[in-house]
Amino acid sequence: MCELALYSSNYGVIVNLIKQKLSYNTINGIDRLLISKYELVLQSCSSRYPQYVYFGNSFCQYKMPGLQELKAMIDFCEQEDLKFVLVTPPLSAYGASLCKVFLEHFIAINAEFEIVINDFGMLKLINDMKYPGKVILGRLLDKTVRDYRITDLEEQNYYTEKGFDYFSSLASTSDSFSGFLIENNITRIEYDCSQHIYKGNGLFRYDFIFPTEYITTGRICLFGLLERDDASLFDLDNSCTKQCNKVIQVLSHPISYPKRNLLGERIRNTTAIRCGNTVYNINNELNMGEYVDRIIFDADLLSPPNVISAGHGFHQ
Amino acid sequence: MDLNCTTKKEIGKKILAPISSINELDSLAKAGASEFYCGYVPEYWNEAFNGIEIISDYRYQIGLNRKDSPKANVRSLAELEKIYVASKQRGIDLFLTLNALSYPNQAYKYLRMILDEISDIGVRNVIVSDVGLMYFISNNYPSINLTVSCLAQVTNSLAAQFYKSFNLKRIVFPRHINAKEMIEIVKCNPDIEFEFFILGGKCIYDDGYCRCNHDFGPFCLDTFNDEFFSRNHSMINHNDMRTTEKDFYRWSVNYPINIPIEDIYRNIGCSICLLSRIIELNNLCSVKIAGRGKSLAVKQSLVKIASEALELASSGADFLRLQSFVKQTFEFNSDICDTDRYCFTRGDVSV
Repeated sequence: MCELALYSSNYGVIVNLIKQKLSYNTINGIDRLLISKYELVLQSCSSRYPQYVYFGNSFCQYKMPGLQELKAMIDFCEQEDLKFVLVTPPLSAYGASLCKVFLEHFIAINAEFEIVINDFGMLKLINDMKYPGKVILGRLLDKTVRDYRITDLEEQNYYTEKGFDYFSSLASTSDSFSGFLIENNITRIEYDCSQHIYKGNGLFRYDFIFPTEYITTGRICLFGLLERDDASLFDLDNSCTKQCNKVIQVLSHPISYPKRNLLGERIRNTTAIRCGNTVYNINNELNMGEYVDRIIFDADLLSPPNVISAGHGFHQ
Repeated sequence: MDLNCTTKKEIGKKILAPISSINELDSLAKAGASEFYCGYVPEYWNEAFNGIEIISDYRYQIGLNRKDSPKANVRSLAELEKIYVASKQRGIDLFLTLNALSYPNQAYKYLRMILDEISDIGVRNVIVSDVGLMYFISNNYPSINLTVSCLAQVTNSLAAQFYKSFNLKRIVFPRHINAKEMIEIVKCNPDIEFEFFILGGKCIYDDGYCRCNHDFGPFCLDTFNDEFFSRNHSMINHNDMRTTEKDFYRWSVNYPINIPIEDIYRNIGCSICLLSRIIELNNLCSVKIAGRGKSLAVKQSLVKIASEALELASSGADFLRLQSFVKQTFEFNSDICDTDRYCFTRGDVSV
C-alpha cells in the first residue's frame, strides 16, 4: 500500500480537502469528477488521511505561492502532522528569485523539506545553497513521450514489439540517467501516466500523480492572454492576472481532425482539461508501475475555495 | 573552450543551417550558412526498432532525433562522412542531432555505435536534450562537445550553469524566451556559447515539455469541441474566451491560408530585429534556421534572409530598420512586426 499526498498550489484547496475530505465544496463538474477520483485514491492508500502535502506548482511560476502563504502552509502541516514538500516549476529569473527566497527561509528555520524540481536550474540553486533536503525529479524532467489520444491496442499495432517496448519505457530508468540522478543524490522520481505500466528501477522510489496526466504545457497561457492588449498579446513578461483561478476548459476531441492519422491509426475520442498553461488527460485507473510508494492526488484542478485562504497574495 | 565565433564575413555571428544531404551543401554554403546541423539514422536503428514495411516518407515510428522523418535525416554513414569532410574543407562546423526528447535504456547500445562511428569520422559536436545521454557522452566520449538542445528549455542562468557539469560547448535557447531573459543569461555566462532561433516554425507550447506523440498529429493543431467552466461562480465572457482562443490557436498555424505548406512564409517565427541588440554579444554566437524537413529551396531562402539581416545588423541597422527589412521580406504576412504573433523573442527588443 502507498502513502498519500495532496498536491496543489492553493492553500485553501489543501486545507479544505483535509478538513472536508469527500464533502469538498464543489463548484463545477470537473470538481465533482476529481473528487470521485480522490475516493479511488483513498481506497488504494494505507491510510485515508494524507501523510504529505505537495505545495507549489509543477508547470507555472506564476501559480507559486508567496512566502507568507508558504509559511502558512508549513504551519498548517505542522499542526496536522503532515510532511511538507515544495513543488517547483520551470523557471525564468523571476521564478528562480522566488525559489531562492523559499530556500533561504528553509535554511533559516533548519528545515529539510523535500523539493520537487522541474527545472535543472533549481537543482543548481539547491546545490549552490547547500540545502540539505532531498530532491525529487519532477514529472517534466523525464520526457518520455506518451499520448492519451491513442489506445493501447492502436499503439501495439503501430509499433513493432521492440518499438512498443521502447516507447513504453521511462528514460529515467536508463543506466545513464540513473547514474546521473544517483550522482546528484536524487532517489525519488515523479510520473503521472497510467496508460503504460512502467517498469521502475529498484534504485529509486516513485511518486505516482493521479488523476492528471499532463499532455502539454508552455509559457504561453490561454487564460493569461485574456487581459492583454493586441500588440503585446504574446509577451513573455511577468504580468499574470491569474485568470486560471476563474475559469477552466474542457476539450472534447476532436471535431474537424480526422479520426485516423496519416498511417491509418485510430485516434481515441477522449476529453482533456486545460487549466492555466497546461493541458491534462484525466486518468481513470490507478495503473501504477513498480516501486511506487506514494500516490500524489493532484488537487490543483479543484476550484479554489473563496472562504479559506492564508490571507495573503501570491507574490509577496 | 573556443569562443572564437567570427565567420569568414566577420559579421560576428554564425548561421546554423539544416542539411540532410551532401547535395545541399554547396547551395547552403553559398547562401551564407556557416555551420550545419543534421540528423543521422542508420539502418541498424530501423532494424532494431522500426517496422521497415510501414516506414514511409512520413516518419519513423521510433525516432533517433527530434525530426523523425526519413527525408530530414542522413541515412548512411558514408554520406554523413562526405558532409563532414566537405564542411570541414570550407571551414564549416557540423553538429549532429541526437536530440530525441528522451532515450530509454534500449537506445544506448545503438547510441554507442553511432557515437563510435561519428568519433571515427571526426564529428565533434552533438546536439542533445536528454540529460542521461549528456551524462553518458561526458563520461565516455570526452572529445565530443555537447550542444544543449532547445528542448532542454534553458530559461534561466542557473540552468545554463547546471549544464556546465557536462562537456558543454553551447546552449540553444528555446523558442519561448524573451530578449531580456536571453541577454541576461548570455551576459551572466561569458564562458558558454549560445545560439537562438532566427527563423523557423512556431508552436504555442514549449516543445521541450510537450509529451504529445506527433506520429498521431501535433496536439497544437487539433481542434476541439470545448466548454468553459467557472471556478468561482462568476459569469464567463464567452466572446472574450473565443477570441482569445482563436489567437492562441493561430500562433501555431498563422500562415496565410492560401500559401502552400512548403512555402517559406508558412507559420514563420522570426527574431531578426533582436540582432540589433545582440550583435555585440560575442558568446551569443550563432543564429539558427529551423527546418530540417524543408526543401532545399526553402532552406536556401531562409539562410539568405538571415545572412542579409546579419549584414544589416553588423552595419549598424537599428531594430526599426531590421523590422522594415522583415516586413519587406515577408510581405505576405501583412501584420508581421505590427503584432507579436510572429516573434520568437517578444517583449522589449527596442529597449
